[in-house]
Amino acid sequence: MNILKEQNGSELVIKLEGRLDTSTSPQLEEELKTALEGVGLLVFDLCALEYISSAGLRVLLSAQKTMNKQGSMVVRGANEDIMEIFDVTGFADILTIE
Amino acid sequence: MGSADQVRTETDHDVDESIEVIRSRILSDITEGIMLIGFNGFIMYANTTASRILGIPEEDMIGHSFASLFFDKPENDEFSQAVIESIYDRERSHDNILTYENGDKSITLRMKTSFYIDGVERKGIIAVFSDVTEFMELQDAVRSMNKIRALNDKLELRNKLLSETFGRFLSDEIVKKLLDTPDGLKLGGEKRTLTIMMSDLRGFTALSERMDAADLIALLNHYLEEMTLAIQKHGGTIIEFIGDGILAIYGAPDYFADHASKAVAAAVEMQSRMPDINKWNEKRGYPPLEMGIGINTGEVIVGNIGSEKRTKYGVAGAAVNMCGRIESYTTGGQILIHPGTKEAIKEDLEISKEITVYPKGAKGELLLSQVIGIGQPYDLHYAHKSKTPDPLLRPAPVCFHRLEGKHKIDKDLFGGIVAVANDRAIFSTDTKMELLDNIVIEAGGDLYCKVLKVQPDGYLIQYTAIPAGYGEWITRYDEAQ
Repeated sequence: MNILKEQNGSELVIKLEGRLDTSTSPQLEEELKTALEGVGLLVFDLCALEYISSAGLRVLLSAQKTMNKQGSMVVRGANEDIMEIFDVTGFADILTIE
Repeated sequence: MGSADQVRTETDHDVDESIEVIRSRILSDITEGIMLIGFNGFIMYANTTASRILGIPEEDMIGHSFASLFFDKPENDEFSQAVIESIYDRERSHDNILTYENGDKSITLRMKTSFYIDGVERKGIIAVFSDVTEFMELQDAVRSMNKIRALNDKLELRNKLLSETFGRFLSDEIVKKLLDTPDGLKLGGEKRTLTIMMSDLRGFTALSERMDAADLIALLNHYLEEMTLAIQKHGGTIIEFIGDGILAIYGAPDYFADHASKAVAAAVEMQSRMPDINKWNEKRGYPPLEMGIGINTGEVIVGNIGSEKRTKYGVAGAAVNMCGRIESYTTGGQILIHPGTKEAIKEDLEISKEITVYPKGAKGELLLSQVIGIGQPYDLHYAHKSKTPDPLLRPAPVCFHRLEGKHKIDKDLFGGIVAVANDRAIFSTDTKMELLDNIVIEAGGDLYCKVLKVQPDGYLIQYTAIPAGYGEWITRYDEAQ
């Protein structure tokens, strides 16, 4: 999986490419530990994300919780499969999906 | 008609209600947890068992979003993943064994998840699960038990191999060393200079012919047990018991430089244990035993000798054969050591006498030392009694034969016993005999003797085996007529 970061002032866009699964989620979790400092708006660009696992969802949830305290978080570009996952797991209600 | 229709409708209604009651009873009593997640991500239904297994009250589940309940702990990733899998791959149901953290305890669930479609309408996910923790633990226990069994089999095989190879003669220390050395059980030997010890009971062959088999084994086992203790105490390795004889080595497999000293110390200790052994024998009506020990120091081949199927920790070489010859010169109670052994010992040796012998395989003569003690740090000594024989009132005339090995030579020879002690006698004969010659005298049975010394009054002979009737027989020549 590739994690591409684009910082624009206090806005951080993270583009995820490939699979966010059990083996790659810790990588994103690690990345977020430092990357979110001073970020007011976090945007997850999922247009190149093919798959998300429960571990990946947990990392998104934890990012959402962090951003709830310091700003906001938006998820965009999720494909149909991933949108369905967001729906059935109830993440569609928790995340702000564009 | 109208009323009949009404009755049917009421009946249908009752039946529907009954089915609904039965259905809900089944769902609540069933041992499986059942959970239905709607397509909106909210839990639409969970039975009592589901609530119990997952550790979440029913009211906290139904109507709440799946995300808010199961995504807090990474430990429950497997559980949510099983739900997610059935969304990605909705054509089939998914069967998983997974771990779930219920409060602070981890349990194992068997969970079946399937995508639920009513016609064309996607309804959600059905998850049916049961707690199989106990079953898995049982399975683990069975697996562990099988593992233990396999390990035991291995260990048993290893122990069998060990005991076959080393018998019960090695100290635990050496067995451990051999086990720790990966090549410990490999075939093959090495050349090493060490000290060899051979011991033998005097006149045991004759003794074995007249003793009851069970008594003989009891006597022998007690004797060998005592000797084993003495040998192992000084670091010796018993190679084998040959009847009443013992072959032991010092300096292998565990090497120590003072192998000669330790061998002599062990020999002195062995001899000093003999009086107690004989007291034990006397109590049981067994005859007294006398042991001779020969010791030699030299280069030998030592190691696992034999075939792949049957190996034995053994020792071979000219020095071993020489040790056997030295032992054959001993009389009861004696320790004879090779000059090479004497040279290798730094400690003070108490030598009671030196004997010149001409053994086969040696260049010329060999001066053997009779040792009765070794100084510090061992400080071991034993009393080798040699009572002077008392003259009989009149000589006891006898017929005797020479012995070659263990065989009597047919020719009848004649002589007379003129003086006796408890373990020796003065024997007068015209037949010319050499020092250490073995003879058998007809004296109330077969009296086996070894020539110790040539004296003016005859040959000093030591008994190596005394027949049961000897005491009574000889007394006749010491009583006034």
